[in-house]
Amino acid sequence: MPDDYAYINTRVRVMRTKLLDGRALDSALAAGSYQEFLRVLSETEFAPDLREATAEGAGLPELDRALSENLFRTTQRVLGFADGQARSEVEVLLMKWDLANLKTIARGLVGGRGSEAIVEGLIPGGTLRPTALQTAAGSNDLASAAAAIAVTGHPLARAFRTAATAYAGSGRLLDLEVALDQGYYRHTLKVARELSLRRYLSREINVTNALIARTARAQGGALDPNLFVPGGSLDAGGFARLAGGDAGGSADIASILESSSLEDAEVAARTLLDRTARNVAVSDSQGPGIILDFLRRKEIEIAKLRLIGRGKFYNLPTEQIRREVQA
Amino acid sequence: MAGQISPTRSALLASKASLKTASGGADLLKRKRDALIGEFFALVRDALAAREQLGSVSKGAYTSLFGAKAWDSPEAVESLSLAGTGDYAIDMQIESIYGVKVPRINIPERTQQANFSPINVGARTIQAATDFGGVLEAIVKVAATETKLRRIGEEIKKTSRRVNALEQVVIPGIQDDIRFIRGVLDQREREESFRLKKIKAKLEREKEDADKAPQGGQHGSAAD
Repeated sequence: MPDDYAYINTRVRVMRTKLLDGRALDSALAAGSYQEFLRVLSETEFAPDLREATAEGAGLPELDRALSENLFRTTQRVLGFADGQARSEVEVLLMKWDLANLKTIARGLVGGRGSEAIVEGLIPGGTLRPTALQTAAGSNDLASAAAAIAVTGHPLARAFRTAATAYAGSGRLLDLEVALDQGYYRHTLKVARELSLRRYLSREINVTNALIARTARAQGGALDPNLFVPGGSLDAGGFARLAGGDAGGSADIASILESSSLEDAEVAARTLLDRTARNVAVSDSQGPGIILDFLRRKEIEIAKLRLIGRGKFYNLPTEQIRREVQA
Repeated sequence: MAGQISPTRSALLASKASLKTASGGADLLKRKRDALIGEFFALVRDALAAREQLGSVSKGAYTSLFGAKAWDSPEAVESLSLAGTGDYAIDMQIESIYGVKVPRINIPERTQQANFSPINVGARTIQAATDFGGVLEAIVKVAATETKLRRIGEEIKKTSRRVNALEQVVIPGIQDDIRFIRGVLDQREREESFRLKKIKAKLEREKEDADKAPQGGQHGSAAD
């Protein structure tokens, strides 16, 4: 098994060198206009994806599509390096987009949206086959959509079926989504045999629980105990205590709970997860840590390019965009 | 109008009554218009405040959306938009301001509880969803005040047109009628008085002739 990761990690390390560095991002930030930003971007690894975005009359949707294509092509490439248990673990890292797609299908079906609208909202990433997603999107109800996903044998199919049952019982979309989220985390923890990956996922769950508590406080509502995600260092009682600002002695959770706004809480959460991913990558050179760190860096790179692109498109001051990018 | 009216004393009385009604109506309408103008200006302040609120709330919401789409991906944000039913119930009643039917909209208390799971949803996206809830409220508020303003504005215009029609067309028309009837009646009176004078003069002449005639007969018979 370590041999698998030795190969994958070598390939991923090479890919990591192609990520945009600070200088390239600075050049993009310094661009005087949106067109110039696209020109700067077309001198990088993103060039093949920008054909549509640089066409006449193209705008932010084309840029977003180009960046998404780049991100998901990269993730698929990483997945292509892996096999066996390593593949299962890399798949776990990509499954958050499957989760997002299953939620999109569920939201669309519950909201009575047409299959076209649902398909438009699907993310071209993750591990679920697009044909299976389209079949599920074209279903008449949640039970049929769950059956369409179950046919693929996907690990989240069971969670989707449970979520559909939860919705049938309460009629609340919230229950469906919470069941799906909890099913997703249950599966990721089950698959993650590597200690480093488990450590990262456990911290991600802590961060998620802390953000839920911080959001509930910002909205002035009570903390819903059903939103608790097990698998981190907190138990249900500890989660309930988060509402009162008790971080249970965890400095990580405290930094999120004590942030002055939701934006600051998110920045604290992101910083924490970035640091954890980096630590995992350093300490686990023969495991999925490097892949995890790379995928995070890639996502952040894409997010920063989306920010700069939007800033340039709306002609915002460079300093304002820089502040947002550095947040 | 003067040509179509029969110049009689009863028509004159009827015209005078119409003139009184028209003048009274014009006064009433002027007072209604003044009251509506007062209401209009009071509402303008509310409408401007509502617009200002919409502007500031929208700015915040679009800033949140800007960050949400960048950090959480546009697809994730658009996926969340599918979660909403698109229904927004408001309590609307119709009230009457000086006879003008205007809507009174009571904006329902906003529930902070989203109908999607906050697990795995970025704080900026949740913030954007909350902010756009505020934008929806502000839009309804603007719609309520501006609809009121538009209805009252239309009523002021309509009332002004009515006042102008009364003051510029109806009242002068009735006054013309009265002048015409008075003229005709005066003329008739003068003719009557002239006719009576003529008759009187004729009668006096006949009387004089009659008085002179017996004197002439006696003289003739004496000569005979």
